Amino acid sequence: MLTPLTRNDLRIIGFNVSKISHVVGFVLFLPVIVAVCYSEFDNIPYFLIGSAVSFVLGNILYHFLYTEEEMELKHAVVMAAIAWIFAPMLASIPIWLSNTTASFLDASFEGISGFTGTGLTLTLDLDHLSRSINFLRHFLQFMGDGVGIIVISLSILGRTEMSSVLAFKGEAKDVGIRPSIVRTSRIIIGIGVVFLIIGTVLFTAAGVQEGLDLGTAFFDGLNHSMTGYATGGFSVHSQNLLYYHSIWIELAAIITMIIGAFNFNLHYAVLGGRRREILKNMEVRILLFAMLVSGFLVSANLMSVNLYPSAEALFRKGVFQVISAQTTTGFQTVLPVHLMQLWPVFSIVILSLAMLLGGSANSTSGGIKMLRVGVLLKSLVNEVKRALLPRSAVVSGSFHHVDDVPLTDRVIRGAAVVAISYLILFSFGTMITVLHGYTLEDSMFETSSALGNVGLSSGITSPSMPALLKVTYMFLMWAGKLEVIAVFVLIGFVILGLRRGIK
Amino acid sequence: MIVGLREFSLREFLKKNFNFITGIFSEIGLIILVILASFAISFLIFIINL
Repeated sequence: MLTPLTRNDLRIIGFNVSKISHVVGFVLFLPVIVAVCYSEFDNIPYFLIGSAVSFVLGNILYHFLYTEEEMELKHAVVMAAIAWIFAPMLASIPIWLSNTTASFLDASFEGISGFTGTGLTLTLDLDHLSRSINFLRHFLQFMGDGVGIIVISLSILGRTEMSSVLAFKGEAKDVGIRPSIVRTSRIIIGIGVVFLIIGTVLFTAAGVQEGLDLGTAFFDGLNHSMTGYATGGFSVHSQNLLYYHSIWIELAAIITMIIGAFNFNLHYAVLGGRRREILKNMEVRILLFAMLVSGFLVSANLMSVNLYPSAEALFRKGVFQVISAQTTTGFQTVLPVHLMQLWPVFSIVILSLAMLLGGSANSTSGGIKMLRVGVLLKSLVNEVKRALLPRSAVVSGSFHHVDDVPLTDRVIRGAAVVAISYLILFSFGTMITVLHGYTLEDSMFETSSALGNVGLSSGITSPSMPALLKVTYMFLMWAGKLEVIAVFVLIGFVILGLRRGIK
Repeated sequence: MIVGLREFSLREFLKKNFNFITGIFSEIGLIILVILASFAISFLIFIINL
């Protein structure tokens, strides 16, 4: 029988949320250093207030809800669902105080978009934003989506391994790198830092090549490297990467985006010496194949309407947008208005599909994930085989994902449930957007961007959009980050609690 | 005297981190191949259309 959460369950959840609050306090404090470096002393109080609120709230929760009890899976799932609202709300404090956005709702939107690695933005006058606030926006994406703030919080501040293992599952990650979760977390942070350095070097070199001074090239490069690896898509310019008109910066972006879309387990295997894994892995094969096919379809479609005058332009506009969508990053080299008014509907639909399908499981990217797509495709092939072969024939299958994994009914069911849940939310978001008077293709595009934690925009997302639509997209970004299931679990517990009360 | 620098051996460093460094090159190498393939596709589409 289903039972609602008890007071003790809520205590365990609240106690673990307190640790996340502490880490958010640290994240909000770090931009103070940037503010000092760039003499932006006016911004320092905003970061200190945000950081202090996070620490104080964390301490209150810690002391009042202190418990020695271990988390169970249900606690971890609900904790993840709550934490992905709680942490962005705290992060929105300095954004709101600094008048970066028009209202607290917009600041919360920015916070959720940052932490979930989406990249849709409601920032006012982005091109004249102070560097410390800009750094915070990008750092939120790196900490939230790049290294995973919940896992890091519990791995560092948690008392036992079990809580952290469950936190991974609650956050829809299945990391089987090492038996020790602390070591696993260190590896995830280590991989993130290594690729952050490589990305920063690539972006900075590209920036200098394009004539930026070293300081600006480094600052922009660091920020874009953080959001590229986190497949977040925030940029320091309102025109995103289009601002630079640079093929070198776009190439640096493609490298960081695709690296971010690879599975952590794959990184670990390849960096540990199993280099052939990168060619054998089913998920990598499907991801790269999907990119090439989508790139072909979009390029051919754009060529058919003679939109771009050269092969280079086709690559830099068409293929770049495809890679950005497929990796769920959201770096953009086409203006939203051009995308929606000049691009053919077919290309918009392909981009929407790419955003919905997403990158690799257990990576920084969003969407349904290629591992699940692969599992569903393999099971489809098996079903066809079953229909063609005699009844007595046994059809079994497996796929290669770091190890050989048998294709069991449980694996197929898990993939199908997540895929169907995504499609339900996609339909819901599209309908809400259409009801606000936008066209179907614009609505599909923006909804898949929010749900897949992408950040490419058709122009719907702006400070002047209706409040209901802002809340809808915030919900979609949150649900998409949690891969939907945790959201349904939380809703289930809330309904049970309302019906039967909390004991 | 900077002891760390004097004791640093590039050969030892490369030997110790061989898997890690070649792993990074494998990943970036594959991505560069994908970039080249994507550009080739765009180029072919452009040529055929001409």
